[in-house]
Amino acid sequence: MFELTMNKRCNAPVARVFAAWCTTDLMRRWFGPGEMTVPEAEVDLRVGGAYRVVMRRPDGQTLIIGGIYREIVTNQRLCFSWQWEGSEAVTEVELTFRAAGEQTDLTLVHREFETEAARDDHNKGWQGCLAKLAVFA
Amino acid sequence: MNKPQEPTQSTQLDHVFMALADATRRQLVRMLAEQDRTVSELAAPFSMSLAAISKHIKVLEAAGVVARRIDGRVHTLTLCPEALSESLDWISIYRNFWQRRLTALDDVLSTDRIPPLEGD
Repeated sequence: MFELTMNKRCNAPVARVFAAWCTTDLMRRWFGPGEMTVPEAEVDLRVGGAYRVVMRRPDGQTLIIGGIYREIVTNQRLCFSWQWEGSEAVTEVELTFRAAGEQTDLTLVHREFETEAARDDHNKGWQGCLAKLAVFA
Repeated sequence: MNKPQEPTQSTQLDHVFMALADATRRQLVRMLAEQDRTVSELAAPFSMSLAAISKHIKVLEAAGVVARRIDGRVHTLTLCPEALSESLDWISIYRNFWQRRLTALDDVLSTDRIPPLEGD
């Protein structure tokens, strides 16, 4: 299992930070940073409801992410599955929102569950990659 | 936005990362890390069709993770490790992905507190 935790203090009240994660017109403004854009975003904010976000690169190629809402506690918690279109892998994202005065502490946990065999494979495989990289460098 | 644009490299990284978010494609990369292989060699260990494997290979090619050499009718794939240098594992791939989005999120939240409603 892989797990990534990130913390970010956001310069806005908790209701607004929460809204930025589940309101399409807000999501479209930050989900494609830099040269990317978000031409489409759909949100069906209820447990079992789906979301879908299309990110477009400047060369026109698109990356599409989607999933299902697992848990929704307004202004506190938002959990959803995470699956790239064209991929069978499903991972899970868990967001926690905590008010810090007029600011908000946001914690993001992203998890990938894999079988033990796949994990062993993963370790072996990346060692091969690293070895090849070392030669390359 | 009055911020300098991020280099194209970052959006390329998103593609690398999307390519590697899939277990089958990571398996293909592992096989290519050992040695160059033909399309049919790559397909051999999988229970899916050659067409399905070809699709996965195309995603890796589009991301610049692998390159194809054509010798008559034989297509050989080779790993391009330089494309992976910034994103060797799942954790660093997603750390990069989320870092850039959380920064953009905070920018949006900080710069204009009352956003205009865009017609969706």
